[in-house]
Amino acid sequence: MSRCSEEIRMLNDIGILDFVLTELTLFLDTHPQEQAAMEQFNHYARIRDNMTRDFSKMYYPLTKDLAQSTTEWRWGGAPLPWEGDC
Amino acid sequence: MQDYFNYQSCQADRWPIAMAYVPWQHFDGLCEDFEKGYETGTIFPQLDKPFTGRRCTG
Repeated sequence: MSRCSEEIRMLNDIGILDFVLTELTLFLDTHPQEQAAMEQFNHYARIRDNMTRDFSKMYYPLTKDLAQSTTEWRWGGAPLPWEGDC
Repeated sequence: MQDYFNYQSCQADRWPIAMAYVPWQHFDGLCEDFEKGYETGTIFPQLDKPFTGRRCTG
């Protein structure tokens, strides 16, 4: 099951946003009153949530809470790490 | 990159010797390109200090 480039691009972008949120978390851990950093964190956390929600609808759920469904259980739909071209 | 640490003005010579002091990081915004930040390992331009085998260049 080859993975289309759009799927790979979205996964890459979600991964980068995870990295951005991790960096901001590390900064906020030592600067808990820094408003500007908190605003950036909230901004990118919202974007990441929307991206993972969209990805989960389009391809397969990335987290269990996004696997909710009334028609079909898709949690096992993701390709296994050793499958395909990744 | 604005340098927040001024050795003279902060009278570092009065601090106890043989201790390590790390200047406090101030929030100076994030890098423009997150993909590049991901590759360099930080989204904070102040922390992007590539090791070149000699003096730090950051």
